[in-house]
Amino acid sequence: MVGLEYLAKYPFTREASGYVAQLNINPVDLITERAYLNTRERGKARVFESLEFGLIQNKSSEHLTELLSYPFARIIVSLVNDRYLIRRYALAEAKRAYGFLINEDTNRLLEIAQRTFGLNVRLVEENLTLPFIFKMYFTDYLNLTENLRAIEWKLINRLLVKGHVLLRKREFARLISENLKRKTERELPLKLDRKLEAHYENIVQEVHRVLIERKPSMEVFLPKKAEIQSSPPCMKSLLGAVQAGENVPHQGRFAITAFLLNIGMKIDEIIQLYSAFPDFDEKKTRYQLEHICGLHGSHIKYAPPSCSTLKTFNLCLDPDELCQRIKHPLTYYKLKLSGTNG
Amino acid sequence: MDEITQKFIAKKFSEYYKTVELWTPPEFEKREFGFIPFGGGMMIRHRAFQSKIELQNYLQRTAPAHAYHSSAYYQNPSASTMNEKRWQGADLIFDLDVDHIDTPCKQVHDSWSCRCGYVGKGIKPEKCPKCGGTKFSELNWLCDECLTAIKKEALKLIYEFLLNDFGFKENDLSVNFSGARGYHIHVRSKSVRELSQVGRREIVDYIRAEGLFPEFHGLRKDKGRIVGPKLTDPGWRGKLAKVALEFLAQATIEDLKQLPEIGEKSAAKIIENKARIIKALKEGYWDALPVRSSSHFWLNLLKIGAVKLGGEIDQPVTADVKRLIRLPTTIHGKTSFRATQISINKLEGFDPLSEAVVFGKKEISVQINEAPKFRLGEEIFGPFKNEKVVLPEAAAMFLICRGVAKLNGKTNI
Repeated sequence: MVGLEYLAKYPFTREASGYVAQLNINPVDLITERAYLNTRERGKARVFESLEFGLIQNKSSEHLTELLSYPFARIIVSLVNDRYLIRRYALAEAKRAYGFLINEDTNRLLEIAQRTFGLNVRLVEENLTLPFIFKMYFTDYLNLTENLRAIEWKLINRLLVKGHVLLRKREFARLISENLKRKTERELPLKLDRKLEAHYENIVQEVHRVLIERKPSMEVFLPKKAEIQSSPPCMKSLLGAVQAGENVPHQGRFAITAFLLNIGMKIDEIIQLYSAFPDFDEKKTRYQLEHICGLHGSHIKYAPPSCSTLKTFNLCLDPDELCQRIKHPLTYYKLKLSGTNG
Repeated sequence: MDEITQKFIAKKFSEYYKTVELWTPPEFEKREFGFIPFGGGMMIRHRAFQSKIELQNYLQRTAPAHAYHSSAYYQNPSASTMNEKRWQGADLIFDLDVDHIDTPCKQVHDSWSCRCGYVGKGIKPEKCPKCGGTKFSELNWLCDECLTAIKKEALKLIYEFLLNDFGFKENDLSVNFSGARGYHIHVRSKSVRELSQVGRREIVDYIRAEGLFPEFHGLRKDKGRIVGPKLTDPGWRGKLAKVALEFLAQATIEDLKQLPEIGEKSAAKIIENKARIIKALKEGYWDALPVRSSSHFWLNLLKIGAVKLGGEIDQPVTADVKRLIRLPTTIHGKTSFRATQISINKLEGFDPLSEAVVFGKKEISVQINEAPKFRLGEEIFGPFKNEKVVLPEAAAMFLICRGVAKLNGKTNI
């Protein structure tokens, strides 16, 4: 049996949701009853901190309050029902969980991965003099790392033994938190009783107000000079993901950024475009853009990666006929452009 | 192909389909089928069948040059758009083809020609050396040497990668001779069915050693020494140790000088100290090299060596989740050979040029344009050039399907 402290730390686990379910609390009471004042405060903090900072601070609230603030926050996010908010919130809950998970006991980690997320994982029993503690069946691994495209997550750079990918504790915790993020994105909005809306109206309005301020403009952005329509399918799809505020992995951001800069888009225009990212940070983004332009450090102006590199990073999407004839996305652009002009 | 020859082939194929014990993929009713008719028509796609007999009747009636089934499972396999088909997963497929391997015999039996008229031998180049064009027409042939080379690749893929690293069981794998120049391996375990295109790409990269960084495989500085993977390590660690050891064991001064930053002097020193370097490597120490930057040396060597050790698989086939793949037990229209299933323990001794041959010994007269020497079963034929020859049916069918022979007008069909 696990204690309340554990459930408060990991409110997303099967055990926690089971515990909350048997308390049989009416969601209307959560928002109206005086007894839940602290729960409401903590739940609101979960939502607002996610929205504003992309993370949730640890607060030493009482365990039951901490635990109940989780379903409360999820109700709010569901009622607001906005994809941007859901992604921001999912990311922040995942980051919060990661902070606890990296310090967690090995068997606990394993239990969470198995019981809550149904992952095919085990402890490494082979007597390897290597730093690996966990192993995960490769299909689960591939599924979870699909959006983590840093080079060390590539399967070729992992130790694969009889179908299992070997993992360090830190990596394992990272994958659990990635799983939580995806699960949250998938589950929200929750299907809720319509009657709840009236009770939660004030808080939902409040979130909406902040959301409107924070949320980047989602207008489809078509710069005049750079002819986006002539971009290859890979760049169009990356751009689409950027505009939808999806969390595009590092390699993808680099590729689309270098591409846009090379076809003549201005830094400010690109920054406006990227403000849709769930983890947008203007200062950082500007610095990175200037770096790619060659304004810092090595003064090298970067070109977007070639088709074969894009393929390696799984960024070559929906290639069309013209793609068969070219080896670089900029060649595609130039050919297409000359084709439309002539 | 002239009309009489085409009719003859169709009749022969049809006879085969009348009596053959046709193999069909599991969950048959969820598969899409596709066919290419003789005479180069469009592919007929989006076909589904309710029973094996229905499919067999279809094959007998239409005698197609090529028959395929989808690696994917669909709710509505006969729908014409992906959306309506409703994808429910797909087998994991590996395609190994001689086309991707540069065997020396290709210089003898394969040729290509560019639109500009330039002609060359062997594998086609990326660009025509004369005009820079990238479209070529190719003439290629099947020979023992090529077929043995690709079989070795198949064995490596199965044992090194699929059974060992990926931990599949022998009965998860179905191994097939493609009927022409390669092998297809189907993995039908439930665990792989829902892998996305992205996930399948990762498997391709793993096998081809694409994007490999030795730093992630244990090559590192530790307390002033360079330590690295050992031969006994699993996965790519062991393979990298093998790459290094095998390279060193065979390396000449010339080989070493091919590596960046290695000159005549360093190369000679390495050769002199070979035994000592190899001994240290076997213990996991990678710093017994008498050169200034050992880690650079290894990184360069491993990146080149790993790609060679990797498997030569056709990338898009494995990455695709809606591929059509040749239906085992049907005839390949460019060879007249059967796409043949082989149990893994028989693969090493498998001889496609006898075991996949469908047609028999009855004699047929054909007019041959040009064909190099070839073997079928225990018999050797050719070479032929502009001649009329009487051949056993198997050899005649093979040449006709290769597109280098036609029925001699007088043959009675």
